[in-house]
Amino acid sequence: MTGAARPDDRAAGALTGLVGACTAYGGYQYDIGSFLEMGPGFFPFALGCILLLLGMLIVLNRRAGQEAATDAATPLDVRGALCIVGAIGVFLVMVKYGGLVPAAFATTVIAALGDRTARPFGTLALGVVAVGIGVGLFHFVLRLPLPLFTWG
Amino acid sequence: MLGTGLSDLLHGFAVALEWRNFLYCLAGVVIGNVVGVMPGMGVLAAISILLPLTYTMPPVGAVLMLSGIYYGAQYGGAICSILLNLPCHAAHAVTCLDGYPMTRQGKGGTALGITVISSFFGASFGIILMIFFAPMLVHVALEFGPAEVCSLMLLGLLAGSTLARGSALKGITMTTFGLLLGIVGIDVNTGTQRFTLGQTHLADGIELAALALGFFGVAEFIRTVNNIRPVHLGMQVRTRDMWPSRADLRRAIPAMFRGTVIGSLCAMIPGTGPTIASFVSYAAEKRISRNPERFGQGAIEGVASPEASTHSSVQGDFIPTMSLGIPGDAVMALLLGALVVQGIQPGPQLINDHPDLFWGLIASFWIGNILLVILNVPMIGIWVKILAIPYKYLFPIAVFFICFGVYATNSDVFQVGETVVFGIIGYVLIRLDFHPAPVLLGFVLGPRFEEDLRRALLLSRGSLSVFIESPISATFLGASLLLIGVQVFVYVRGKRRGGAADIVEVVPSAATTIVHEGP
Repeated sequence: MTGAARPDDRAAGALTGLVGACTAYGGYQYDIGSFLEMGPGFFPFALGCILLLLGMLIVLNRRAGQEAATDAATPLDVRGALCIVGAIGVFLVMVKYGGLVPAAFATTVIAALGDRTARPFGTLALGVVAVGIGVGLFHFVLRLPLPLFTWG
Repeated sequence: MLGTGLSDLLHGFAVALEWRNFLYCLAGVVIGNVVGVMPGMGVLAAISILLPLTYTMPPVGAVLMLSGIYYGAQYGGAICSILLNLPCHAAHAVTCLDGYPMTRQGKGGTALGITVISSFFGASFGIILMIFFAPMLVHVALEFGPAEVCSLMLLGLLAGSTLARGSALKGITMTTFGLLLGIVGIDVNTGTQRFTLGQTHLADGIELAALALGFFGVAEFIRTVNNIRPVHLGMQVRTRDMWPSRADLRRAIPAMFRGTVIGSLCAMIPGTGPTIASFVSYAAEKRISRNPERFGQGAIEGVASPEASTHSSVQGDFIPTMSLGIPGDAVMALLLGALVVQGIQPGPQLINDHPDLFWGLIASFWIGNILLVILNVPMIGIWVKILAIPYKYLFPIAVFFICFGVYATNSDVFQVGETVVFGIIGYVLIRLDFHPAPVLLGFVLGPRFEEDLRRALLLSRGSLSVFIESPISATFLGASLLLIGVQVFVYVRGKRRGGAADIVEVVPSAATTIVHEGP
């Protein structure tokens, strides 16, 4: 795959450095202790510093993409992403307001809608299959403590 | 030692053949084979999805099943590469190069047949290696003190990060990030809450399943949705097509041997996985061959060698994991994580404390491989049909499994929330050209690493020189430095040459469908 925009390593390095700095700061807050008696902050502080260093190295190390950067360069499929994240979000809600059956159905159907070639019959059938697995496997075999239908 | 080894092995067979364990093994290899055949669903994602379900299973069964998925997927992965020129898994990318041309010449069945033979042979060799090597390694490792264990873990972490896919620098970053994530939670020594952001749910730390499924499930699906090429298979493959001719066998068998040796060597080195093994053996085969121009046109050695290499490497991967407790890659890290949840401490004492587990596992490898041969030869037609199931039906079910699976672990909705958060983080990482697999390595080893570091420093009264004074520890540290040195050397040389020097040519443009794996 050619012609795809190379991901910007500056962002990668900056993010790494930022995480490193925050971690080091956090580690510092929890008593670092000494080499003899490592405090709770010792390890996080050390890791944070290492990440900071790595972040700088990443920024300095920017060079022509040696491995196919296609994975990184493929643009985000917004519809797909929203449906997948949305499906999990719906699950979070339906555990309390809905129950196992609606959760299984809704999660699967919403996720399935992420695919552009999704069609009503296939998608609904998929939902039914999910309910089947949900009830059969999770409810009966694994005895998941989630009622089939519930509200609040 | 040989005598006890054999009797232990027999005991292992008794454990593995016990009907419940046998079923778990069978389930594992079937699922693995299915996952291997289907493009878009990675081994890591599959193991992660089933991980929470194994928490309620007996530990032996859990390990048998998860392992079965791992090496089962290797069998299935070749089918996709040979018939469709689609590398479902990175380790089989090389198999496309000569496997697909063979299909085009009408010899697809033969290629598959050779694959199964080479795979079984390579796996068997790896198993034998494990039987002899693992106890030996354990014997040595029991002499290790905390300083040696620390240095070994460091070596393992570095190897896992630098030899995996992508830039070594980013690999190390990912491992460090994983170590960090392992810290989240209550510090056992002081009771301080670290990085829990005030959330009581995080007091026990980040849930392994949530992390794994977020990074390798959700993030992967976000990346691949609407991105997978539809699969068109216009041909039938029958069982009798699979038997190779004499001439084929004559060329394939030596290649098989060579591949097996290379794979085993790669397995010994922590951090190198089946992918690297396959690349190295293909390159070696091509270089040794008297007619290298045949490669890429359907040379059967180009299929036999990488496949044997991959399988021996996969079985060999278990050696450092089971005998030392140091996982070689993300999959092994997950397996170890599953053991820890079951209350089993990984490390050299595992073989003595849980001989059932260890020897049962080894015995199950053989049983599993035999099952796989049975599955793949007569039932080859079924696998080919499964290949054709559209991705759009698979990933929603996978999302469903992810939600329910994580919820099933602790009945904690918060952890499902963790999963989606990690999914988003994982996706961001992928877009920034990070490969998240080493995070698991760091995450699983992190707490132990810190613990041993603390112990080592305590014993040496705060002196860092203990790491260099011990010869074993110094060796490991030296190897780690060597690894870093090699990376720096390659980088500097690459800069001077101004280009990338690669062993293998670019894999056919199915690059978008390669799923994120470990090395």
